[in-house]
Amino acid sequence: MPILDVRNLKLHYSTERGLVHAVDDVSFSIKEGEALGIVGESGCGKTSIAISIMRLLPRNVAVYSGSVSFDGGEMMQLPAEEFRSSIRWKKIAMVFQGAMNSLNPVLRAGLQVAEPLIANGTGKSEAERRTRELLHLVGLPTEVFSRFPHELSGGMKQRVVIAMSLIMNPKLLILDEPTSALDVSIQAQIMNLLKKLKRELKLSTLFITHDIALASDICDRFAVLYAGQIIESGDADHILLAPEHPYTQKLLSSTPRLRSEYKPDFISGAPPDLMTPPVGCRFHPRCPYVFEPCKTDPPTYSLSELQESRCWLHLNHQ
Amino acid sequence: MLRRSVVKELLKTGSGRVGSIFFLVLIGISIYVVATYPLDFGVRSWRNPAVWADYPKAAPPVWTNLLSNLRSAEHQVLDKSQPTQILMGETSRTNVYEFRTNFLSDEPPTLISFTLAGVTFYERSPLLNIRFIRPDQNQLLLYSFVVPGPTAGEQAPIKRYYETPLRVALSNERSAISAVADFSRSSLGVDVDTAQLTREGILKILFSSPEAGHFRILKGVYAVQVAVELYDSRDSVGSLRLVLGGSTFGVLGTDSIGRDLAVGILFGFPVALFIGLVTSTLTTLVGAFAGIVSGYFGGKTDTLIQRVSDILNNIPLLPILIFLAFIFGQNLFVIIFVLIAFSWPGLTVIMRSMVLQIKSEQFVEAARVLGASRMKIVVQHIFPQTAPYVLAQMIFLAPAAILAEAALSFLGLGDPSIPTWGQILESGFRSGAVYVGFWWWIIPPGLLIIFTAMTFVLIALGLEPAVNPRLRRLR
Amino acid sequence: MKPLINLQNVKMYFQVRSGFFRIQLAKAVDDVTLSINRGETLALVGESGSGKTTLGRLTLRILDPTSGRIEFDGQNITNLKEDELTWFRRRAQAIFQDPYSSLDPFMNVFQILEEPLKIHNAGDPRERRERILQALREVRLSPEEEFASKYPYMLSGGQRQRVNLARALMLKPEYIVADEPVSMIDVSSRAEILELLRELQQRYGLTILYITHDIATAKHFADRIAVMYLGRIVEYGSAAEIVKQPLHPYTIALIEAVPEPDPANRLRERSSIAGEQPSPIKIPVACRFHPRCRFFMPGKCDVIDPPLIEVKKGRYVACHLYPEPMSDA
Repeated sequence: MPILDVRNLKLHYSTERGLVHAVDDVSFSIKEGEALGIVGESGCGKTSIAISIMRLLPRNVAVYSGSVSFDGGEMMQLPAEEFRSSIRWKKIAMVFQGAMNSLNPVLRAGLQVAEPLIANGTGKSEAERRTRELLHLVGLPTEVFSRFPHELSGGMKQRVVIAMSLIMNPKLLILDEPTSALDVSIQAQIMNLLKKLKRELKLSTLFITHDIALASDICDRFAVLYAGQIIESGDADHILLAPEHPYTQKLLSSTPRLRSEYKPDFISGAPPDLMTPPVGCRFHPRCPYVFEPCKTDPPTYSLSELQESRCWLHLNHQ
Repeated sequence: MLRRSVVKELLKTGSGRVGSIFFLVLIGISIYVVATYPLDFGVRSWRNPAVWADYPKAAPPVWTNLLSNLRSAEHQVLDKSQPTQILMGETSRTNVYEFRTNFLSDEPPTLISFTLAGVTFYERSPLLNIRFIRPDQNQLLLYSFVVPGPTAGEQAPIKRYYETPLRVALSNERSAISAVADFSRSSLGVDVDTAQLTREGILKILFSSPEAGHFRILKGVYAVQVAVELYDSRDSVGSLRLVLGGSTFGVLGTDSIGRDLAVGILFGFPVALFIGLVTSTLTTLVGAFAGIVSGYFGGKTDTLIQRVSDILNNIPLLPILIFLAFIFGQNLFVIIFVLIAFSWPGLTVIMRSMVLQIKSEQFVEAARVLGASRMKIVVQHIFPQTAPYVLAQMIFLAPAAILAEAALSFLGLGDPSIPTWGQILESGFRSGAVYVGFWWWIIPPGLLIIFTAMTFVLIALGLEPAVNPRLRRLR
Repeated sequence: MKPLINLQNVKMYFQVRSGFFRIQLAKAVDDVTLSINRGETLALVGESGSGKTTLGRLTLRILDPTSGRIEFDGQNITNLKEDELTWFRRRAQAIFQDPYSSLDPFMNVFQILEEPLKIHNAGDPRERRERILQALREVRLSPEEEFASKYPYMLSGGQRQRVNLARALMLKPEYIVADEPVSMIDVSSRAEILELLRELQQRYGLTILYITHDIATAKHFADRIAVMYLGRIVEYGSAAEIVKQPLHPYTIALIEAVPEPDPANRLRERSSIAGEQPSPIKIPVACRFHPRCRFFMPGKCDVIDPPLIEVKKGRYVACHLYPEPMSDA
């Protein structure tokens, strides 16, 4: 049974200019101990999926529907207060994009990590002991406990933020671009830490990024997001080595490779506006293989047990 | 692009629309006042008690009659320059001027006064007789007067009352009092002594008839005939005026020295706008300029400007103003100057930090790489980014200046030659209008100060979306 | 061949206020000697804080160097004042990293592209219009007329970067500094911009300084790579060679740390450099990479600052592992 099962999730925002279809009928699941990578370019609705699961919705939400079942229970029916007190942070935790820059500058790092524990009634000394253990686990010297954020380097702050997300022993960790502000050498360190945590804590992970190469460092499975929809999903081997959807293929060939002579490719045209997504297949205006059927919305084809793709090219597959 | 979009944004919001309408009203009234009032209105009229001598003192507006059962006397000023009738005698000619009024109040007038201006004569001094004719046809000679003859060496034509008109307060005149006493005794059958009349005034008797031992107001048409006897065909009379003092006056009433408050308050419109707009414009110019110089050029100039603004920001304004009023006298321009001198630092500090931020934007660096001069970068790239904010600040500064001037005037530091709403408030307050209940003296200028301030605030609020680039980007 | 840009022992120190009275020196660029040949693309690769952007700004003379000598086309421009630099401004241009902040939000595309022409009094209004539309065509923003009237907020990141590129090309420069031109736009559009830059370079014989943290794009789009660490160039040579056989331990580690989409990644540790790059205020003595270096030789690396020497033809390294030129075998 998957730890997280999302079915037909929709999240639309209303703005002055119109309705933004940020998440449009998205389904995916994460098995226990598995890492799922949601990969997509800026403005495709990646972060909106994360905040739908965390139920951290902004005020201008127009549509929020579908089913989110976590650990066997349906979350969408849970009252907001109960979700806040028993699920958020305790069972599902999240590392936000740029979270390292939003640490409270006047509180010692350790206290910020320990805060949820103390708020939930753990004694001060016990909380401190657990925090120091956790800081050690994320590879920080324990004296970081009494340091202020400005005394820490970028990599250390990111580790503190990860420790904060783990303090309540969550079952599912959502990581939204956890290394985007870091240099490549620090990025490698953080990814190694995340791998270690996944292995040692059997943590289920939802990894959200625009960088498919970075995601390949940790993800067992992938869901490729384009204009609010999942256009292809499958296990790492298939997605990275034998992608079926033209967008995934193009995305992979756009990624510059250091260890190959193959020149990076690109997708011409601009990503669609989520206010007025293209009719039919949302990728068709930029797709090199566009043909007649693309004017209507393609179904999701199961190409194998491990791979699904939403493209008319697979029409004759079955 | 900027100008058009700002106006468009302004008219998009409710507060912007209301503010704009109010503003147009203010401008309209001000233009009317500037076109019709003399520039030295303050000195020539407002501060000159002679102008207001015939006006009732501390009279509420006429329309207050609608609010009470008792109809109070309305102040009437009647003017004549042409005789109603000319009677030719053998050696003389008599010009008769008749003033008629339909008197319907429930109380007698507060005064009767008579004014004569511009008499020319050759042979003999003209003689004046003033007759009072009541609705019951009773009449009496109220007052007689001979224009003073030539002094030694004075040559004909003799001119009198051109410079200073002759003004006779009939209700206090001795001869009038005794005439009324006679009249009361003979025609009304009521014995009153002159001492009592002097104390209580003659008007009560003149405007009523006895009824069961009481005097009752006699309503109807009264006439005052002024007969001027002239003895030469070349003799002439200029103009005559009769004032029946009332206890209500005009649209906004009068103050304790009889000034028509409506006139003073109207004059306050252009003055308030002038203070608001001049102070805010100049403050904004100085503040924005200093802020841009400080932020963009930095270095010693920056340090200097920042220190000066720190100092100015921390000096209390009031003692400085009192001090300067003491040195330069109370002058509106000194007040405006001081307001500007002490308001620019606020804008400068904010402008500086905005400029510092814009300066670090890459498009500024791009312009530098292109070889744009510093001046060009400021004019082309930095100022336009701050312009909407500067505009909003300018609008916010205007009511602040108006309120500051009102506050200073209220403290008695206003410019006496230019009446403002603040000064009207102050004179009302000083005369105890608040305690005595002369509300018409206090409320209109107070409300107008608030109204004008509100107008600017509404416009500023209406500009908010245009000014806040983040809000605008979302559109 | 004479280089177009020539830097000799260039230093750029900034004063940093730390605390109330203490002023410290941040050595952003510390003794760099480098030349860029006509018509080539040199990639300046380094992590944030390495001084690569500062070095780029020095070659544009938007900064006055603390010491050293900067030459452009054989002329010394180190100490020229702004009004003596007009000729240089016309010949050297820049493309900036942030597509959002590099275009004035109050100007439309036409005005943005007209600005360089106005500043240098080039052409009459009709001619200017022609040149602007042509530039838009060259960066493939068509229909040109329509794009000319748009404001930056109406454009996508990739389109803005093309406007940036068009602006840089307006004056037909010889030298362009491209400071992380694609790091803030989507992966799927990056190669398009870089291809375009490459194409225009070939058409106009441009010399490009490509500043980036991404050694992978540097490999594909640059002729030579210079690797910068804490204000110093630690290695430079041809792009292909550096990626194939990095010599400096920092370059080696940097290349190893770059991920590639490979399902096998998740089953192994990614190699990484220990620790973090120190601040340019606290530069380690001698070899500035020694505290993080896996080949650290005590008594040498922390005592003697290694000079940048030519170890092979056209290949320079500053490291004690390569004390003398290598044999070609």
